Amino acid sequence: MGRTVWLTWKMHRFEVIAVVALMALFAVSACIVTSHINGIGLSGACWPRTEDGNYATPGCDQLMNQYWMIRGSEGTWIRIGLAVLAPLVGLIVGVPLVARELELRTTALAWSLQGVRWRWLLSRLLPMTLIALGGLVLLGIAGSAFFDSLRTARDEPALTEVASSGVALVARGLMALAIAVLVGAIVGRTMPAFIVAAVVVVVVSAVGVGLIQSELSRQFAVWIPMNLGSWKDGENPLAYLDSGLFDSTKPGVDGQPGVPYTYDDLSLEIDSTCGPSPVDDTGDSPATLAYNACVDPIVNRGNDDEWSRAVPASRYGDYVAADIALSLLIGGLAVLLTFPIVTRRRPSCPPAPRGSPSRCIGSRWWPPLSWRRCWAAVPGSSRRISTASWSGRSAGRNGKALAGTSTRVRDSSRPGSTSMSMRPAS
Amino acid sequence: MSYLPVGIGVILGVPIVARELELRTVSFAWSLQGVRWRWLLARLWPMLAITVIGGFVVAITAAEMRVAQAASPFETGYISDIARQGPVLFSRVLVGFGMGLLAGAVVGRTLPAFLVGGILAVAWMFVGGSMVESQVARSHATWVAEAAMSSDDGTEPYHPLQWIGEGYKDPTGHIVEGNLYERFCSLTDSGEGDTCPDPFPPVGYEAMVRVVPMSAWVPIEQAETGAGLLVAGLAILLTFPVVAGRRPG
Repeated sequence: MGRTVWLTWKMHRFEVIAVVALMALFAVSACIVTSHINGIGLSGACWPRTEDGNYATPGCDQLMNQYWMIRGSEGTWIRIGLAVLAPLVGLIVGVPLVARELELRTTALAWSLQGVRWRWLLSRLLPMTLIALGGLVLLGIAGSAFFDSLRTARDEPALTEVASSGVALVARGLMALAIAVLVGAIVGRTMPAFIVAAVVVVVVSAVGVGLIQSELSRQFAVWIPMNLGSWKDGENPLAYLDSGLFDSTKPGVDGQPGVPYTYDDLSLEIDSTCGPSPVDDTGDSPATLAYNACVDPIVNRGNDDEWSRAVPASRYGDYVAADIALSLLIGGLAVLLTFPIVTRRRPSCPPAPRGSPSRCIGSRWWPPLSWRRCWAAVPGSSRRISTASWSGRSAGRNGKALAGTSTRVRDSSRPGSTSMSMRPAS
Repeated sequence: MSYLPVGIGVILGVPIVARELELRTVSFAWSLQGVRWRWLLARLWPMLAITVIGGFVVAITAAEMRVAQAASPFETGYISDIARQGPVLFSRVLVGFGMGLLAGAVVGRTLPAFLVGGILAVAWMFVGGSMVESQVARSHATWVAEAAMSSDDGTEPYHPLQWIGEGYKDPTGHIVEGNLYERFCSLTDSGEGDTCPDPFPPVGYEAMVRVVPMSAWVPIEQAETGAGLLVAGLAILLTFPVVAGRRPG
């Protein structure tokens, strides 16, 4: 086992050094920015805010300005890094594990020496996974500390940042590693596998997670009045799904807080109750003042009747748990799928068949591209190719046995013309 | 739109040399070819042609998108738009290609060269390209009255490429860098609000802003494109002596 670990280290030195250096550098940077934010000295005494948006004391206004300056500059880079680094580490570590050996054609010898391929895969996978895990845990801790410092300013992470700290970050990185290993085993070449794996990870992280979060938001959303004033305490919902005007004095349906009505209904009520708006350039005429006195209660009632369907901030943990579960499920499936693929995979291309083979893709030889085949595939083309193949052996020249495929080409534009060619079996 | 074309340039450039070094086929290939620069040129020019054509298409497409967006009255040009389309984007694709090619020849392994080349290309975007952009922008900067930036008097507001700084014009006509509020206003003892002289600004003083005008778009674009093409060309040219002097195995 020790020899295998040493060999794995020798083969993947660059990747190990690169990811360890990257994660260490980033973790240190995150800690520095966290200490900057904690050093501002924000406390709960700065809330609740006043009606005009200021914080509890003028000193708090200045502290919050300092906070927003840090958050808008170095804090932004840390947030981007925390979102991107874990999947990137998984890709860099995971792709070359199998893909590089397949590309260098060393798997034929390695698998023949090892005997049992799953043991070979496990011996490569375990050390790299442990290295990645150690770094990801460090990153997760740094991310948690960073977001805790943001919470001193009552600045909660967005739903897109559920995998930017803690266990969720570790799970996302391990998922990326598993996907990278699987794609590398299938594709068999490092660069293409890296690109394909990156695309898969982005699709899972953006689309897959997004779909699940949308479904969770639909389940967790509740109607809350807009003038609740929770923003004064820095408590904002996670997401807004809908909004509207509801007359809460009457019962609503489907969980709505009242009977819904629209701003057009309000406008109609204003027009019918208060009449048309007087034409007044000064804004101080008696007619205008009377009109305003009539309109204001209706508008204020409309403001009080504004409700929004939002996801409470207390539900954030549910999103994190769902993200962790998804990452572990997909990552586990990817790892499990890699074993049968490696077990059954041809280590390299077989000897090239006689004739004119062109390309070895996926451990198989493929015939060369032929304009005749391409043309025949076009509907309505004047040439039709019929392919008859036979298997078995027949006597050929010099008594040597032949087996393969015969191709008969018939040009329908020239009746009676036929040509035939034979190619040995691949 | 800014990063993907550069990444594609790196992807096209890296495997030209790096893959053959990694697969250890260069010792055989170089022994057959005799002159290594010919070997490199034979592999380089088709990929370079693809990169040039692809970069041209991407640059034109991005420029057309920009023109379509500019039809909206809410969409105004900013200095950051210069590098997202047209010649500058084309030059950045070539920079990615050149950096990938050079990194591949130096590192000798595909994935590490991809990472190194990508980092170098992004470093050019953020550091080198930005430095050229800001140098040319500052050389074209001019002072404009702050009142011209708003449309209170019904005239079309002045829209610059970039705001650089603020200042004010004193009664002698000199422009001083600084903020009028900080110069003439003072905070009250309670820390809430401030007291400013009436009238504000004082007679003879006018708030000014230092801006980069829209007319600087073309010089900035030309400078950044030229610098990018120079860096890409240097990277490609440097690859030849690296390949010539490199041990194949």
